Amino acid sequence: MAIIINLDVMMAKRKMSLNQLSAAVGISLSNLSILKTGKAKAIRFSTLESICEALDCQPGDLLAYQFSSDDE
Amino acid sequence: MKTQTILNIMFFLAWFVFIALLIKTGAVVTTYTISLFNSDAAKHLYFDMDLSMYLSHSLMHYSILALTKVLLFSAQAYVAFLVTELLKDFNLKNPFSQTVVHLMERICFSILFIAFLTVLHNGHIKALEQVVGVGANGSDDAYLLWAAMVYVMAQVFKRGIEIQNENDFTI
Repeated sequence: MAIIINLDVMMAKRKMSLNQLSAAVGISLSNLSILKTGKAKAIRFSTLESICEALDCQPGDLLAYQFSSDDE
Repeated sequence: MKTQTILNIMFFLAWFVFIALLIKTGAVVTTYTISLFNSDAAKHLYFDMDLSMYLSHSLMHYSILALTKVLLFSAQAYVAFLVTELLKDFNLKNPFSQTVVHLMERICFSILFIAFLTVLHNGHIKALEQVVGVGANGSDDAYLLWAAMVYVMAQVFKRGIEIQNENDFTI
């Protein structure tokens, strides 16, 4: 997928574990794991908002577009 | 709640139809075997199913007709069994599953088989009508339409699985 999730990078920067983030955001560990491993198909604005609030970052810090040859 | 009740009723109805068709198939097999020794049995192969005119004409044609009827009833019973399996596995909270699609495709191909047998059976009866002079009731030939409908539904369910999968992976 061309959109990559940099959740693990931001968590490392904020020195936050998955358990701590799960407790702060109110999303189950399994769903956060799906998001972290890039298996998620979509993300709700409300979820993005909660994660940004918990990690004190911008959506652009969590999401990035990776150019791939398939997109041509 | 209401839909679940309807599905439960349909589940029992499908079981009822399945058992009835098994009994029908067994009855035809039994009376056919008896008719080989006592030709009067061919007059009432199953309730008003009278194939005695074919038996008096040719044992081979009579046997083919009886065998086709047995195959048709068995295939119908199999479809009824698949419907019971489908209704058993159907979950209203998570309706689009691979099992349901797989069962629907099997139902579709079984109905196609019934349609094929029906065409053969009706053709055979028509051909015999010119020789024997008496025609019997053929089977209903709306099975092709049924098969097409079930196939379309299976495709819709396939798309449903994709959408449900996407929904499940939306965080």
